[in-house]
Amino acid sequence: MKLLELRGITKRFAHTVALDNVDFDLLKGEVHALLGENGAGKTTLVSIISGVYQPDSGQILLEGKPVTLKSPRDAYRRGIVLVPQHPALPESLTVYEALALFLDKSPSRKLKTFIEERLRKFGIEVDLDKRISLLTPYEKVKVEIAKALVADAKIYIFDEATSLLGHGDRELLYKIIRTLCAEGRGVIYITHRIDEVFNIADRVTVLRKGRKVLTRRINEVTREELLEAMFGKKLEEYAGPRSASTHGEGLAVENLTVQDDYGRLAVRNVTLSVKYGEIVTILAAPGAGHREFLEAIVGLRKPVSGRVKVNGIDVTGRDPSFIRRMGVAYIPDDRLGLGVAPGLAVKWNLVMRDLDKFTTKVGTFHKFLNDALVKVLEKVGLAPDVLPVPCAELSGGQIQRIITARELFLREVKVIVALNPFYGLDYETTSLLRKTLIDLRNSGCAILVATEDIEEAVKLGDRILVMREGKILKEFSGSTVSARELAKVLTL
Amino acid sequence: MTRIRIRIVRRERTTRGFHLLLTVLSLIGAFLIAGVLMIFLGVNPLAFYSIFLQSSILTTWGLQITLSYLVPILLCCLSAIVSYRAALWNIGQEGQYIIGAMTALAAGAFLFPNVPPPLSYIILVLAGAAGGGVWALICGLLRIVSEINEAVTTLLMYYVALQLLNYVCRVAWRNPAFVGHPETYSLAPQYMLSFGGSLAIAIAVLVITWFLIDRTKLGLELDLLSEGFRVAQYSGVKPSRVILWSMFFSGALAGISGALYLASTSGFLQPEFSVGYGFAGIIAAWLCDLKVLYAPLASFLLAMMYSSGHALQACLHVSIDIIDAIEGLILMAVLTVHFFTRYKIVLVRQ
Ligand SMILES: Nc1ncnc2c1ncn2[C@@H]1O[C@H](COP(=O)(O)OP(=O)(O)OP(=O)(O)O)[C@@H](O)[C@H]1O
Ligand SMILES: [Mg+2]
Repeated sequence: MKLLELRGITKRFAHTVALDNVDFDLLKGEVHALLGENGAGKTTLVSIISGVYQPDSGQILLEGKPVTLKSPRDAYRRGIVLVPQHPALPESLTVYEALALFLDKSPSRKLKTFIEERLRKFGIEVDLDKRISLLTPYEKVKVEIAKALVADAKIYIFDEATSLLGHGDRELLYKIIRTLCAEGRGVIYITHRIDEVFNIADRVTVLRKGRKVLTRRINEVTREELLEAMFGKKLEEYAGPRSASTHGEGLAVENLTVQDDYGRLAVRNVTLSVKYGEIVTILAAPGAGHREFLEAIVGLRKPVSGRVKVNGIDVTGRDPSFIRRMGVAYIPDDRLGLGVAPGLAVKWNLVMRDLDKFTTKVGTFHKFLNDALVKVLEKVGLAPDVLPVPCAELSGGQIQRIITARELFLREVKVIVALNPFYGLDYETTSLLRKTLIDLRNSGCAILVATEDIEEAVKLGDRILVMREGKILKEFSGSTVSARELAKVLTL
Repeated sequence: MTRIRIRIVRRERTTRGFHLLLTVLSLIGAFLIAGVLMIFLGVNPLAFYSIFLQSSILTTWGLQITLSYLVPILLCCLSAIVSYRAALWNIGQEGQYIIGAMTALAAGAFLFPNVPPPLSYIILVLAGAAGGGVWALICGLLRIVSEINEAVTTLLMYYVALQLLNYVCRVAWRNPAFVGHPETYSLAPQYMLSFGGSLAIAIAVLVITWFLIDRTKLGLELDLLSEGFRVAQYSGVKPSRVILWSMFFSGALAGISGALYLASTSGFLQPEFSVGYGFAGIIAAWLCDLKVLYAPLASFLLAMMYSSGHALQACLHVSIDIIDAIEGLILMAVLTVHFFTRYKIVLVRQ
């Protein structure tokens, strides 16, 4: 039986038609994957299913009956829960309080036991007493997943839930999803990882520019067909030349020790150097300390001890704008919390890190500003008409492109530091960014990328360091190591 | 059977024009309600509207009075805009207005009584700005040092300012020449301003504020701070520095408001000096949607209310408190606009 059916859904925003006459359905016990390039309308579609937005036209049928979903709460009462692309949790509450609020129950011992049992059943580990404002983006994703699972819903929606998860967590989530389906529930699964679709989905639907392009059973479609449906053309993966010649030390870190937000040691006495003309990737599971490590390098976190040098100059403890002016780019993965100011127009989000360059002595903006911005938008495949649009109104991947454009192209950078830079980017943009990074390396940049994704680490890194519990465990040469070998070290 | 139900749903985005239209319609609504209020008070609403317009804009005299009220309200409105753009909730404009007038008086009556114009006017404005600015800066410091919410402190500091005003009027600067009513010594004559003079200074301050907030990176720094500490820090804005200067700037504008009002009216202080221009300025700031360029328009409307108050009282025999009621209605109109730019009401067939 059809759990859910959407007929002819159309949704317009001020500047875009996000969904154009889309049909979609979900059967009992099925995983229905939703694919599409950045801005295709995936998040908008599941926002409509979960009551965040109302469609301009079209019908929603729940178990055969037409319904209007007024709000997320309304959708929840009807058995629909969403793990959103960007965690949206009440910052001032503890995890437990947030879950209680979501379940619409007042906190009690009984409720806590219930929640604990439910999470144990699925094998999800979250600290219920932690305050949400102190969680890392990765931990917030886990809380969102926990939140969905404590609800006894009919339909579970995961919007790019695995983008920030490590290898082990992903396997766990697949297991959970299979359990949910075996119990006769339905799952809608959004991802940019195509392999995931073949691993877990029963059916797949592809959206492109707000239209539905295809819906197929998974055993009736190939990877190439899906890619072509998503992008409307055949794509070739870019594998740039390995290891160009290196010279000089771009970034040097000596005996760096850093604390996390709770005051625990997250990075212990790490020494590392990145030469000009080389890409070093740090492969780490979430929470291994790589986040704090990178933040300490770019000035967002004061190290306890140790030194950071950029181009031979000591920048330890300097503020982020000083380090930026030294020609350092930082691509964070906490999009809405750090990467952009969501309420401000794209234009201001582009200039905000380079105010020194784009303003005059009295503080007014240069006349050539707009031309410069249009040019960098072009480089990441965005049209100039997004300039006045607030970032909150862009899709996740579009925001990530804005961050990339600003960090890499608005100033001449010599050192690039990036945390999960491919997070949320679609297949085409991912290979575009990979190519960009490789090109920048070849033109002499020193690049340090921390990622939780083994494949990206291998594809990109000239050297690959594995980090665990705040220490560099092992170093590999990118040209000889295999993904399987790395997976072994990572899960050791 | 189909039932039709009314639902409130979120609106994703609105245009400028829609916002403007909504503002105008809500204000018309506010005045229609005020008219109904008049009927209950036994007053012909048409008489009310006509006296309201005549006493505020249709007569030269009325217009002049309105403009004289425009100055303090406009400056307090700018003060509110500067802090609200940074998500700093300075609601103590009234207190900073009092302190600004007091420091201006201190400069113009006691410290530099013999300075000739135009230097005297510069001193007047700077003294007012310094007084109001420091008064608000204290709240900014408290926010940084011990994370005390500035909405609470700025409001409480208003009451402190009010008591200080009482103290200088009745004790410290009391002019013994006035028997009975407590009043202070006056500003030296070369500090006194005509209405036109104070309006000209206010316009200059408006232009400077507009330039700084809408044309330089200072405005962007305010916006970035309102988006959160982390993103501000990442973009090279030092949160504590911006909190301090924007609170000072905000307080300074309210302080100038007090100084100009003092110099363009009696020239001395009395306990009744605080009449609520600061609070009117806050309403005006939300009415113009925190846009500096629309601030004069919104402030003018509130100034009209103030200038028509006495005429309404005299001609229609209604209490002057009716002005507070209409101010409240305008605030309701602002809230209505905010509601309808975020939500819409739709009919759903079930
Ligand atoms: N609240 C909004 N206001 C205006 N436009 C919006 C809003 N939300 C989304 N859009 C626009 O609708 C389009 C579809 O966005 P959506 O978030 O659904 O994309 P997506 O497929 O989820 O992309 P991604 O893979 O990048 O997350 C985009 O062009 C986006 O700019
Ligand atoms: Mg999305």
